[in-house]
Amino acid sequence: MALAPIAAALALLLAPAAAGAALRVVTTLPDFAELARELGGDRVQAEAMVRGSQDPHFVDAKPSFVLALNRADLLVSNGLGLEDGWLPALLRQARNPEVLPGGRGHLDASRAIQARDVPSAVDRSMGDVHAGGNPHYYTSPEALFQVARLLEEKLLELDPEDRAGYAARWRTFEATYRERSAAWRARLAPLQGMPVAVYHRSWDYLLDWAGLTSAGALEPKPGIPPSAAHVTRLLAETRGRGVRQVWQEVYHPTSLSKVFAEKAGARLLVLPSMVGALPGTDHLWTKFDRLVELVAGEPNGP
Amino acid sequence: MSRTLLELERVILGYRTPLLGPISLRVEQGDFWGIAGPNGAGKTTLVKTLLGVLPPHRGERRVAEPRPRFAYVPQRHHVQPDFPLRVLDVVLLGRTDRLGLGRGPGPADRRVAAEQLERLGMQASIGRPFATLSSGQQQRVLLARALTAEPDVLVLDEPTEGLDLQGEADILAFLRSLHREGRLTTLMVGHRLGEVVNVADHLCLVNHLTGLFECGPLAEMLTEERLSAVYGQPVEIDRCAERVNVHLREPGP
Amino acid sequence: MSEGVPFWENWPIWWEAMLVALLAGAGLAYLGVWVVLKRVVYVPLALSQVAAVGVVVAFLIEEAAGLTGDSGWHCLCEPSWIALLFAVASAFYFARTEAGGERATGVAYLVCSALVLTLGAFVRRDLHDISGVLFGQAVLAQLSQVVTTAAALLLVLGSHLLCHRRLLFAAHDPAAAGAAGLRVYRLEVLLYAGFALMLSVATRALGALPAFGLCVLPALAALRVARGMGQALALSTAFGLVSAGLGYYLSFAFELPAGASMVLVAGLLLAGASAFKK
Ligand SMILES: [Zn+2]
Repeated sequence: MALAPIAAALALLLAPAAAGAALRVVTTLPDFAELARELGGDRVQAEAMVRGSQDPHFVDAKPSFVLALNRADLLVSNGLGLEDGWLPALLRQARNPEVLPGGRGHLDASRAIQARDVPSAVDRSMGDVHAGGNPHYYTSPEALFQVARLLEEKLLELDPEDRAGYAARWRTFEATYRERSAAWRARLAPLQGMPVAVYHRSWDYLLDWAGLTSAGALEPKPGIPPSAAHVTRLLAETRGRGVRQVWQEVYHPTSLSKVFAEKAGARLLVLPSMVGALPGTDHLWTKFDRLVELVAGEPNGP
Repeated sequence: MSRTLLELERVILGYRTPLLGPISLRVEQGDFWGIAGPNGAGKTTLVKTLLGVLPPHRGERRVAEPRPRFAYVPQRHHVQPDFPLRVLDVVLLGRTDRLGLGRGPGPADRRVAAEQLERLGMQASIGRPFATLSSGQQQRVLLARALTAEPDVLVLDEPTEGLDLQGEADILAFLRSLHREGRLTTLMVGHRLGEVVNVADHLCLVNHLTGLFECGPLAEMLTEERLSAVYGQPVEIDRCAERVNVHLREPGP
Repeated sequence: MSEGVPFWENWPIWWEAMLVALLAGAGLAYLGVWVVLKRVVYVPLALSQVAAVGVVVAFLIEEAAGLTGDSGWHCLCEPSWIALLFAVASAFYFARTEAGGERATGVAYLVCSALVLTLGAFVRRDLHDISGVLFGQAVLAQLSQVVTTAAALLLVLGSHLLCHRRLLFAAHDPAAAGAAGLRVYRLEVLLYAGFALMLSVATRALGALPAFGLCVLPALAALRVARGMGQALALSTAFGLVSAGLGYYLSFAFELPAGASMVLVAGLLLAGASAFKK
């Protein structure tokens, strides 16, 4: 609701004027745009179509996206079916063969990671929005680092002139990542093995990375609203397991999670799944800083 | 000695915009006022202002103390049609303002309602759904509802509209007898001038399109000049036996 | 998932939700009879937009004053309370409209929707934050919601018990009721305010679809078969209870979305009532 989206749209419109020799990178998720800025510096101009507070499964396509895609040198998509509901139509209208899947200017970031929960072709079921496997790997720092590697290669391929600059930026990025991720792990270490219930299975990659365990999701299947029976079963199960936290994204309703957490004797945490989802998470590092802070509790707090 | 029940003094009719006026008139106990004028002339607005349902745009409406009890018989199509009410339910609504908060009608109220239905020949339909009645029957039920209130002033808006000749004659005869026998003060908007002049003793002629409003005792009002002015066309009055007929004069050759 | 969940054994988990659904279902279905008879079935949609304006205004106040969760002022401009206040206050507007008031409903809906979007541009929060305040889910509930819903129901039923015949006269024939000395406008305000109260509380507890569905479908079903106002009100209330209770049970038994299955049961009742009528 803030003016940010309007400003973003304007920026997309006005972008080419300042572009010069830079690569025009359009990403679906804001996290990828952040990566491109980190790795490309002033060699790239990166814009994301999805805001951090939006459900990336369902995005309202805007005309400005078509324009941005039309002018883009590189499109970075999340893949695994996350954008299936809205990206293909935009790409058809954008008339830019470079950024079509398989084109030189299209990067499916999921190639960098090992997808979880990929179903066999037979058990695709109605309404499951994770029919291509769990697409929410961007909640894990490790997975994003793997994406960064892939993106670095792609940027070099498209913009080979600044090889030295890319190398220098990569060294900085990698060093920062190593340092931060060690700090995050240290912060989460005391919680090792803690079972966490989630609303939507956005957090499985993060839970794995952090050494926490999943106690189940309120949604019976990804994208299917919680039913009474399912939630009751989950409550009955979690009560015995000492679930202390319930996690959810900012764009899902809190009304059910709140009651669920109360009945489970747990705390509801609304966490930033993407860059910009909460105030003060406008950067890759600050997103995870905030996330870890929320999960681990304030330094002197509970 | 008759007492003044209701008085309009230099009242301008209209809800937000002035429609007609200024109007001054005085309704005495036992009067029978007929209100006539072309369609869309502001008759219903005048009636609602007289009732106090619609505040006057300007001017003053004065009501006697203690406040006389009004009962209103609206045009049938102004009643919400879907309500699952039986005839007795509708008639008993006439007692509403006599019942305390949270109270339902008692045996005495039901007795009054049944009496009025019987007077109007509707006692057989007492348990029938109101919505399934014919227009004439609905009109009688609404009249019974008004009488069940045991009002001091009965106000009717085109009670014969949509009725066949027999139904119209029955209703008019009933109203005339109410007035003669019970000296019930009555205000009636007429569908046609002809029906009004044969029951009323006072007449209001209303036409907001020409800005005309005149009222007074029937005898003074019922002249061809006045009527012609109201309707904007030459009007003839025939008196044969007890009846008065009013009709447009045939245009000359 | 094939493993069944025993319903009765798990009552400590669902009893609040079931009770909220029953209370809201009864209240909405009771008021629904009035809503349907007055032909204002779209007023609920307009009311939800009015409430949304309330939420946005509350957000604006919070942000302008820099209020945090700890200050006492925060409680006063709690968005859900402001939303309720706005909805109830709009009774003064809806009561003014003539019977049928479709135009007024349309105007309220459009103006409020536009207000939400324009005022919303000055709020840092997102659209889902607004719906998060307004719309609940029928799956689980807290004790506080049971209390709120019961209080709303008591207020509505109490006021209607006192003024039933006056409300009926004013709704059936406002001009005659006014002539008889009834305060028609005040009665209309009472009706709409009770309705806004019940609807807001129910929407916050159950969600938009069941709240709207429970206020229209049971009443339509009851009016198909009832032979009097009292019967219609009693039947509709009973249908509302059955829709809510059975709907919740079925959602449990067959893993259906709770709100939708309540609406479905109400729809089946309507179909049944229509068939019975024939
Ligand atoms: Zn998902």
